[in-house]
Amino acid sequence: MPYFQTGMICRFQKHPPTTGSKSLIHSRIASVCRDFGHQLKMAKISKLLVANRGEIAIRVFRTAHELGIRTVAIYSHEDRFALHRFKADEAYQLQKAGEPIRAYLDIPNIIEIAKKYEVDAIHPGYGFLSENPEFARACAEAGIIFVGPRVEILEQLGDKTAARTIAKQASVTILQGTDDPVTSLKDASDAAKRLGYPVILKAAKGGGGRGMRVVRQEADLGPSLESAQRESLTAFGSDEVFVEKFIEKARHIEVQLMGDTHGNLVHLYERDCSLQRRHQKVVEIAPSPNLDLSIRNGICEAALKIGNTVRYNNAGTVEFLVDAQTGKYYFIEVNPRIQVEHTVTEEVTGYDIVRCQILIAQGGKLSDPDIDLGSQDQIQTRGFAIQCRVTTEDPANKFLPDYGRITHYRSASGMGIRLDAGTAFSNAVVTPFYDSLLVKVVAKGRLYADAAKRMERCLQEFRVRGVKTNIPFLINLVNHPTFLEGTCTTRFLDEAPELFQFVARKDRATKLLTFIGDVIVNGNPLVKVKPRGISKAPAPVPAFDHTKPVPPGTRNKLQELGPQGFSRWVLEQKRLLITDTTFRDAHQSLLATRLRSYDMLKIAEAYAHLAPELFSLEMWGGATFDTSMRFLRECPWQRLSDMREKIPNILFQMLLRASNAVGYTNYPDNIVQSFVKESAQAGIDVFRIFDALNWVENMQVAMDAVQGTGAICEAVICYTGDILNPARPKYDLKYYVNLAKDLEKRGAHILAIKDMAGLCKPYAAELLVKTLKQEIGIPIHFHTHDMSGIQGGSILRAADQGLDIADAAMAALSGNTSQVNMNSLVEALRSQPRETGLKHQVLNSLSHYWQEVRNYYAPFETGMLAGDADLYIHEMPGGQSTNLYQQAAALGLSHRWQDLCRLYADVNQLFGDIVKVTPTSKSVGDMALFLLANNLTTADVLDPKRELAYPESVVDLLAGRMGQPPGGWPKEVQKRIVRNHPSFTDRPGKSLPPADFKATAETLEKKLKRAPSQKDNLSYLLYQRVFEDFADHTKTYSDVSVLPTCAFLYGPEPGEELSIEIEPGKTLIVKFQTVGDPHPDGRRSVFFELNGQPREVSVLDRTLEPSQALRVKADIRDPLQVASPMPGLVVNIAVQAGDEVVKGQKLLTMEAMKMETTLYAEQDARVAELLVTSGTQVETGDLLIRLETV
Amino acid sequence: MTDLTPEEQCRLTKETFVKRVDYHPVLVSTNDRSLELAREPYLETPLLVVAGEQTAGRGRGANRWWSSEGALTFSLILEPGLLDLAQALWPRVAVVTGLSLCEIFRDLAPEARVGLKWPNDVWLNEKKAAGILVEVPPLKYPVPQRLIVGIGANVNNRWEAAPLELRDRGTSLSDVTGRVFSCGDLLVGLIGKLSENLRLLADSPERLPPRWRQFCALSGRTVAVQQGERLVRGICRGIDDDGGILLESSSERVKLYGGIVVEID
Repeated sequence: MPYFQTGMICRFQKHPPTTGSKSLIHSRIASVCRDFGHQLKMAKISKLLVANRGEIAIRVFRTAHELGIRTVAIYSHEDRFALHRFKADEAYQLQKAGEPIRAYLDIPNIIEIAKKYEVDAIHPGYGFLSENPEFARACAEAGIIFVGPRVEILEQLGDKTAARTIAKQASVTILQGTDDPVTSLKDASDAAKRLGYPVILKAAKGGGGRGMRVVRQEADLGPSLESAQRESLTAFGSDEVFVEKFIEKARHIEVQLMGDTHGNLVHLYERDCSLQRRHQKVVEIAPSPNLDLSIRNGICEAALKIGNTVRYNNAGTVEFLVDAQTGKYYFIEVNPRIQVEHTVTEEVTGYDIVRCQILIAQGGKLSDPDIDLGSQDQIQTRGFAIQCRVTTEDPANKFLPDYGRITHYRSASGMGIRLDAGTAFSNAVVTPFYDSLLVKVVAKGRLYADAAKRMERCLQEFRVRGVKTNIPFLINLVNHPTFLEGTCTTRFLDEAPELFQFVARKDRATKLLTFIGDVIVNGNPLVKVKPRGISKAPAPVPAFDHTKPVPPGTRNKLQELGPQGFSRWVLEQKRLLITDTTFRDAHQSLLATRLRSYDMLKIAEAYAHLAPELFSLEMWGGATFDTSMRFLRECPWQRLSDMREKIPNILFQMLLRASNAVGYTNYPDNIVQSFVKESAQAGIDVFRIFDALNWVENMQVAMDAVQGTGAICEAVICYTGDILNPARPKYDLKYYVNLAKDLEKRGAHILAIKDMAGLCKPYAAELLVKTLKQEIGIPIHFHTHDMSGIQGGSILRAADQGLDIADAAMAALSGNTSQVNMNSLVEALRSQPRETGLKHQVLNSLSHYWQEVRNYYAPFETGMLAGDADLYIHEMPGGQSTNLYQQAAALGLSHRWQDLCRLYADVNQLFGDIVKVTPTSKSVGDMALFLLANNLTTADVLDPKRELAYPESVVDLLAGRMGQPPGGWPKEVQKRIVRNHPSFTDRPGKSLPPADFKATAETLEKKLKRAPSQKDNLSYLLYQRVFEDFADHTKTYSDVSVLPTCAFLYGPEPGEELSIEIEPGKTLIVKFQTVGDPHPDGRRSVFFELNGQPREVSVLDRTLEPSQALRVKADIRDPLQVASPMPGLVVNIAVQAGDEVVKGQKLLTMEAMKMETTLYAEQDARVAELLVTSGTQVETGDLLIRLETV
Repeated sequence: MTDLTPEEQCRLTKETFVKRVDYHPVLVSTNDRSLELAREPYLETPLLVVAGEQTAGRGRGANRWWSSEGALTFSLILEPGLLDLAQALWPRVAVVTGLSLCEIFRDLAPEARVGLKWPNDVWLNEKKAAGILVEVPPLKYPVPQRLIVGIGANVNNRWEAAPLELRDRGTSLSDVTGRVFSCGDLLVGLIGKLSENLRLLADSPERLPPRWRQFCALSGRTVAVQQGERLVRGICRGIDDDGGILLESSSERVKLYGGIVVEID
């Protein structure tokens, strides 16, 4: 395109005169027409090569395009995917593959490309060859226009000594220092003494902060000089170093000059580049805020003087240091090229500096209308512009450059924002070869404060994932009061450590996608076999009026009356009060405690609004504390507080294992006390406290702790045996009555009967409650498991005798090992004296919700289909029988389940008939299994001829580590089992040293990298490893409790869209697309759409090698018997019975110690019988395959 | 890059039982290369395949060996027939190799806790520092039966450069000692030690178990071993005389030869 056309059109379209009289406009048109003739004589540039890369190359291409000039990029092999290549009309690769920097410094190669492709001008950008006189000369020799100053200017100004001489000639004050580089320590020392410390050492040929050292005292001079020289030599090929006076509080102010080749020179005012890190500019501002006008004018004049002295042409920058205390300014150096920070000058003056550069290089005059810099007076600044250099440096790690793929890039924009970016887009790769500048962000505002606020807004808007950036640091910086005052000096960044305190970026989207990706590729480890046909339909939450206030419930009553008063209130109630166990014991018994907070929180508000008549919700404690962290990867405390927020009106109840708190062992008293206090503060109203041996002394610490909190202390008698059976005298009615009286005396507000094994038959319940009602004055709360199927009868009988409160579960999660069906219980009492006050429709609608939710947890179902009366024989707690069955199955003993049940009962008798509930029940179970697996009986235990090593839990139990049963341990059994292990007769918590919370907090702070709360300390003390794993999980994947349950357990199906609310009002919309093929490193890419944008995460495929006894030995003399040549596992069988095989054909593969061996047929034969399957473990000589002759 | 100079290659054939060295600056996998070589009927063994850099070492899934610059990756092709190693002894080769590595590591890093993680890893301070993979090439007449012992050892590589999810699981000699080691010397030492121990395995195998037991990193710890669908959990009671791992649960004591250790308490 011919130049004059573009020039004319641009001139009028882009800069129409907005002010001025008609005559002025006419005179301007006349001037354009005059210059038109002049421009025709100029060397017109038609093809411009930029000998640079990244953002500056793109910056120049943009202006060149606007001028109608064809653009040419050069790129190194390493830059072959860099963006600047695609922003040019043509792009050519440089030689020197493997030398990413040197490629851009290869003058002959660049000139060759330029000539070959008929380039008529080269813009050098900044850095690389921009200040190299040899390059400018080579361009001239090749007949190519160099867009920059004349060669001799580059030569004069490139040398700092020469530059200082020029400044002196121009009568501009230079910072006192040596005229010549110092060559020895003595010279340096003399100079430093003359100037007075502190001084600064500077590389004569350098720039960019390298080879610079501040020396404050004589002693440091030697080492500093040496390192400055070494650095200078490495960086610039010369070890020449100056000594200069160092100013403590200095501002770095630089002036933009623009000169033509006709002797005209103007300035475009100053930039403030005081914000530097290690002498590297970080933020630049134009004009300088708070700069005294006289200083400003003085500096600009001084810059012009220096420029005029050398007859400066093209764009250049004169740098000064301003002493912030005295206002004196000193010349530093001239940069004869475009600067990184030229943008801010462009924004406040309105001139395109690159455009001026090109037009000047063509021979244009400043006064040309296209340049329009004819008079200094017409150049004004308006408003303020601030530039931040966003780099891929990790501010939390000493600004270490980060590399790799940018997984996601979203930049900011909007009013007053300019972005000059290089290779910055989603999926771009940041290489380690070049400087780490990602994008230059310029914010403009009418006032300095506006620009600063806008910059902050813009930085907050940025989302860069995959590589670290300095954005957190920049945000701190632009928010800093000193920055907002506009009084930063060059050492500000070194003196403000608060700039380096970062709020960790949460990056929850990437972490959650990584978790979902891992579940998609590897499955959730909780789910061994993904069930088919699970309905993912959302469970129906009953409708209620959100606008109405939450109706008052029992919690309001407790707050009104206090625990004693509340206890009396309970006694006054005519109706039978009901506790809903769905949130804790029901799913602990039916679904292995796997119910997630997500499903609880969804229905929580409906409970608060629709079922305020409930006595309480049992929703915490027992196994939930451990499993929520261990399996569900969610915080139990968080569940408690979130639930509390949604249900403010109904009592929350937890199960506390007295001195075991929510763990399986005795803890020091101060842990139990602190745990109770924290739980009460977090929202627990009723603490149901039990001891696994009904040992009241062991309950006292926890009971006292509860009484100090204002919560209700519900003390438990664990029911075992049969009060109706005279053959079981140990746990008779009297035993329970005495226990209850003792607990009442010790301060219990409510007495609970905990019938964990469902043994309390209807008539026993009737007798027990009737008697207790006569003997004690506090309310009675009955908890039972409906394993027998008859426990509804027990509640009804007890209710007739004045039972105050009963536990039940929502229909969908009731029955079998869980509690009695609440919906049916409520109906059974309808229109009866003890009618509960609960609404039938409400309970059913709540149950429908749980019915749908239960379906999500299918893999955790126990498989128990009906009630069972065996429990009256073995007396096993509901939760344990399913666990013990699984343990037996794992040992291949499931077919001997009945034997195991009988052994369980025998062991109970051997141990002296004890209460069996966590953790004592586990010891009894472990012992029964031990005896069964070893074909022993309880008689063998007492046989003095047999020395057996018993399971640890059994030794612990008999050694008194779990406490003392009524009447103590049978002495002979204890002797045989405990042997020389230390044993307890007292309360174990008494002798345990108190936990050191302070030391725990210190340890934990290091692990968590944040100050831990007391709740964290407790979780850690109770479950150290579980908590550590959980903390790691959260760090890697963030809070996964926000995921819908099916997504958490099974992962989404391709095309499925998930809506994940990560906090109120912040929702991620995630659509799973597909999984990629494995990469050579064993990872797979998982592709998603996140909020409608493509996003991928990389997941390690942990597909494990498949891997398992045989007793028949092969007859080695019989060639038709294939024997195992070594011990190992059969991993793969290549033949089937009936197959004909030929000699040398593969039969099967074995694995041992990860070594795979293949067995081959040694003769032609037919496979008669396979004695192993894949996964069988074999010994040397075991018979694997029987062959027969064909 | 782990360079092996011609001098070092020469030392290997002079000072150890290795007959030939096959050195490649870059290889996909030394075991793959060995499997290829092992198809040759006439081969001077023991033959050592060394990679200056291994781009995709063997091992599957999470057990994939991370190799980076400074890791020592090599494979030995052995002929069990020439070494009097009966097939029933082959499974122990991995354990014997692990033992040899442990003994070398103990000498080089006396301050570190050196452990043999059954069946085929070596730990320094509870983190993986070396992995072993023994492979049996398919038998094809007239090629003699061979065994390939592949070893990847983290020597001078810095584990900080490893993929994030592996970073906490691995370490190197250099990481634990802060020193840089000569891979040539280490290779000569290790192969010397391995040939000695293989000799013992053939001649007096009863002398080895007491030595590997002291390195067993799992002894006394509760571990779970996944064998296909089956998960076996128990307290590790050491590595048995035949190389199997002994697990004790409340009800039984089992010995396992295969599977993956999936949990360690």
